[in-house]
Amino acid sequence: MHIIRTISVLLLSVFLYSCASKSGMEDVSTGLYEKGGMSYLDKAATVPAKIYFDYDQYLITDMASNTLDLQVAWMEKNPSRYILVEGHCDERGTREYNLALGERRANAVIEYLSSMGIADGRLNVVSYGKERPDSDGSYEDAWQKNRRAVTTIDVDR
Amino acid sequence: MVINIFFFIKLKHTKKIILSFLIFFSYILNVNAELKIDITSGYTEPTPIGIHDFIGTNDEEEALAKQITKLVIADLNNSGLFKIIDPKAYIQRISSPSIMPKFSDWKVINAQALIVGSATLDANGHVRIEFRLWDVFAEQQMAGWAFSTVRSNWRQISHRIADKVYERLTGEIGYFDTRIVYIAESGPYKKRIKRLAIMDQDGANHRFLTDGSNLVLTPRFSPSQQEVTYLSYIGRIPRVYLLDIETGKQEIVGDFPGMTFAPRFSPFGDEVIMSLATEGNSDIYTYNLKTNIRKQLTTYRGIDTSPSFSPNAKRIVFNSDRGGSPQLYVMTNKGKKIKRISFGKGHYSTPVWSPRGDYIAFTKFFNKTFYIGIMTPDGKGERLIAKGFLVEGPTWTPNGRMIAYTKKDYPKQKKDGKTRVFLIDVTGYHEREIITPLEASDPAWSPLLD
Amino acid sequence: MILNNLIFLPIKREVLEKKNYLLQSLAFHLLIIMLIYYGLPNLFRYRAEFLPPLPVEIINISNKTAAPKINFKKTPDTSKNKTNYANQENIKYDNQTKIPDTTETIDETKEVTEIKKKKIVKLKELKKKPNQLQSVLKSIEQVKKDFSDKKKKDREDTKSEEKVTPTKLGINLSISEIDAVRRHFQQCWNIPSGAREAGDLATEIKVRFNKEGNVIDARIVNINRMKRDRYFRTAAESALRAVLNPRCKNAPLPENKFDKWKNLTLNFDPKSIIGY
Repeated sequence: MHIIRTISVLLLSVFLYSCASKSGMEDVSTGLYEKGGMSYLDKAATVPAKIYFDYDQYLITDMASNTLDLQVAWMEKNPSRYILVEGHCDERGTREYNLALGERRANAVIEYLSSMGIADGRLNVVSYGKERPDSDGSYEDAWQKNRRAVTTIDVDR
Repeated sequence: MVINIFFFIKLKHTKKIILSFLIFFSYILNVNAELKIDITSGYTEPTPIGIHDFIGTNDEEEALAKQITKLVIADLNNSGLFKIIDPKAYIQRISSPSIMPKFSDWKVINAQALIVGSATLDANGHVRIEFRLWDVFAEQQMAGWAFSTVRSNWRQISHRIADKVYERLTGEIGYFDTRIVYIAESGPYKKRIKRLAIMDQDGANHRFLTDGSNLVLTPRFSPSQQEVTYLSYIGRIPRVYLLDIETGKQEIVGDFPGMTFAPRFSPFGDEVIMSLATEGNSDIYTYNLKTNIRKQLTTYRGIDTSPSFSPNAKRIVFNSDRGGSPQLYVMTNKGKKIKRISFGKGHYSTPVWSPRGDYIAFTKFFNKTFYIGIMTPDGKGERLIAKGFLVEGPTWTPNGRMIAYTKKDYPKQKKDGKTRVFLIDVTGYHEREIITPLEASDPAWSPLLD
Repeated sequence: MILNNLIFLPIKREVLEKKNYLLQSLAFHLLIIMLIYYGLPNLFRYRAEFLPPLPVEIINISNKTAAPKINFKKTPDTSKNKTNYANQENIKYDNQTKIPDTTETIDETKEVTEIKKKKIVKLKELKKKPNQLQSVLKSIEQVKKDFSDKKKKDREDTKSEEKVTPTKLGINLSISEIDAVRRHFQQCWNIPSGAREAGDLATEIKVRFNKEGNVIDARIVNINRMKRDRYFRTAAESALRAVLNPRCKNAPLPENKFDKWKNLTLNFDPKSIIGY
């Protein structure tokens, strides 16, 4: 009896898990899909929404530009979507300076997107400074994850 | 004197003069024959003083008097400059503040000063409080005051008493009748709930000013203490707002095409100075609350933020990365004569000009550690007075003597440490926490009401 | 030449030759007044070229050393004693600084003193009291300033040494006795911390003792400044409290020298500690 119960529970969980894996879970405030701990612009989870920055930097790295290229492609395929890019920082800076730095990061992203042909009118920025970390924890791995720009769907437009 | 002595002695005239000269001579030379001993060291400790329970003539007055005494004791203890001797050690029972205390009783317990007072209630609900400050060793009165007010105002009177004692004994202006506005924090670090809150500097009369539905940051008092300016993410657009403390009414400051943040009032309360960030660039603007005219003060394409006026409003200190890293700069209130003032190793930010005009407090980040420091407005005399895993955002008490700031503990086992507000003396001594109901950050101390 | 004829000759004539007593008297009175104001003239040319002498504690050795009388007219035997400080930066001194003996520990200027010839005593002092050295070193800038302000006092002091005879040595308080007093009051002096550096906050307290070393009377010297300067008042009151503190009764002063210390001036100087 025990064994049958355990097996059915296991099978059920595998089934459920694979269901969830097929399409990500949607976050209504950002319009992004969560899957495997990452965020995506598309349901199929192929276009990552986040790019990362070096400490105190707002330049787009090579790895970041690869991700942004994917985002551009998605935006071209979904021309009705308005985009809001969030700029974030890690906690190793003061509050106001990080608000400014976050704005610089978000702005760097939309400049890139714009230079790749996405219409300016679709793009907007918001900085959260260090107020919305992605990873809580006070060590370099966490901070690295917090130095980011998140391309989201502007749900207010 | 010399002339007189020799007037009657029969000497030749010139010899008389020479002799008188010599005697006069020796007089001036021996006049400072007293031994002088230099004493160049001692000890620095909170001054022990005695505060006798304030006196009342009936039960009601006694109860009120006890409350007042307790508050005065708490204020002076918390300043870090005084140590109130345990009342259990007091020998003399004083029945009236106007009679001379028995000083020997107080000398014996090493009280260097003594405060005695009384509270008298009248039929109209008014209270009259008298007190005297006695110098125990010199055996004389140093100061005496009387206050009159409605009974419900007794806290304010107690703070005023503490102010008077503080001022008379230290020479500094008291700061006890002031308030602190700050951000009350709660919830998980990834989804922090932040609320504007205000309280007396001793933690009393605490209340929340916003409900936490919108992210709020960096509140600052107006000189009249009637309003607070701060950053709010209402509608998910970060902008500077004004909040009326009494009515709770909020309004946007200016109509700027982008994110405004880092707001402060000018010393005369007529302007709000802040940063505007658009297209990857942030600049400093002033906004006149009466004329609604805004003025751009910096033009550098980069980060210019955290502006703070000097007390006479003639100059502004701010944080800029125009030199390649976050540093401190001073300019005139017209945006001219921009001069860098921070030159040490590390990053400098959040500059705040002291209400006395003599120092600028700042946050420094160097070698993976944060510091709170002060320097003179021309960049000299840099001193770091607090340090921690994360300390930032200094604010001055209105007497320019202490600094409150945000402090986050070192993480324990990969869990974030608590965020709280701390207070430290400008000498770097007596760091202590300001107790708040929840976690706390971004403190701003009110100015003194004249 | 013309000046000489016009001014000096008539004066000479009037005053010295004609025996005009009124003028003579007036002239001498004027001279005395000027002396009071400007101090005695510096008779020793080379002193004017000196940089300020090093501030060192006054050493009075009682009974044990009878230093020989120094005739100032000779070139002084200089300072082997000074070499102890030779390594210090910022301190420049002229090797010709004369170091006369002193037995009176007078001095209005802070810490400008003369050194005894005994090198040994000096070294001993250095070893035993590093704190004094610290305060001494830190105040060197102070002294340099003081020196230019107080040249006249130095001149007075120089003259006074002439009058002092070596036999007076041994009656004054010795260095260890002074030090004991210093340590005695130090333990009672609660220095107000962190007052703004509103300039010099040194307070002189004039104290009268009884034979047991208890304070009969104490008063702050610069009362007027107390009214103007809040920070000075705080510092001065703390100094007065140190003197009046019941814990500082029975100051360790030698009874047999009561005359020397029944009136003392204690100078409480927080300069090395205060300020931020």
